[in-house]
Amino acid sequence: MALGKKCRSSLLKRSVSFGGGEGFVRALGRKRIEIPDAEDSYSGLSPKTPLKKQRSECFAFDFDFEGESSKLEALPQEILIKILCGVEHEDLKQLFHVSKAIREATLIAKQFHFAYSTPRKIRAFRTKIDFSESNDELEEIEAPNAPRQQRLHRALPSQKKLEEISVNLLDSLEEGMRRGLFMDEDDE
Amino acid sequence: MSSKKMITLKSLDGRTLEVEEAVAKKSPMIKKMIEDEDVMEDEVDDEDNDNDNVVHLRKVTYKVLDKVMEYCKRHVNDDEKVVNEDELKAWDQDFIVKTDKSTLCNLLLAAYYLNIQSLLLLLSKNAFHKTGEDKTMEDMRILLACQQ
Repeated sequence: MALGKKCRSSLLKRSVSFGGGEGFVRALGRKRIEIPDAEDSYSGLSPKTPLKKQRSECFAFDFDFEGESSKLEALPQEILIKILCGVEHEDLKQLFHVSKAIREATLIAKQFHFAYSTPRKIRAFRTKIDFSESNDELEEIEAPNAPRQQRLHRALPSQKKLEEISVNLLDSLEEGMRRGLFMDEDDE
Repeated sequence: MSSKKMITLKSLDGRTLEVEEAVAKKSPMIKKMIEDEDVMEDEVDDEDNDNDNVVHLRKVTYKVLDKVMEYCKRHVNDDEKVVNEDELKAWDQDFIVKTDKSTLCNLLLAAYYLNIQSLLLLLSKNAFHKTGEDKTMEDMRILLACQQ
């Protein structure tokens, strides 16, 4: 298969050798590519079948190879996320293509952005707090593709339940009246 | 007058750095190593006096270790109430600014290895430039290129 050269700046030149000599797995962007054990170095590769499982396995190895595996990704995801929280939301998109581990961490960091801070693109209020004016302006500004919040929806009570509730209330109301709790109510 | 106990830290490249025990103990990992050694001492004869209080840190280079200890020295009194927060923050920012990017990356890894939470947090927050979109990928590359 012809191996073309892409002009992508290869951020990642990671070669992990499996059992010495079987071949190199080079990760560029999202594709895992296996290339035969060759001497020349590639700046870019055309995609072959992604080898997802191998990729996740290789990080279980101890990184004391001669290879240039990234120490950053050896860090636990928790810390990767903390680091990525320092990145502006718009810029996070760029980091998706770096590697799988970073993409996962980026996705989570992205959610944090919206959970705790206002996204930069929307300027809710042009002046300090001016509700009357800002409503029109809000509609003009496009949404920054905020991830959907997963809020728990409470289902509205069904008709049957509603009836039950209403009945119960009325019952207790009547009882209360009987007992004279509602002094000012008119007895019917 | 209490003499402060000094601990010798030995880096990856063999150079040693001497710090006060309290400073070294900012790292829970070093703390444990010291305390384990103390336990050992009682059981073994005092033959190896040369090896007293030497903590070998095989994953940290001298340059990075020096920086880490600089941080720890400044923050050794953090638990006490006499802390001027603004001053401390200013010092922290200055610390970050003074250090070059690749050292900062190594510092991050070291802080993780030595388990110094506050340093880790500080470095995480400052890993990426906040200004300018182009900087993000640059920062990422530096971080990824970082080897210890």
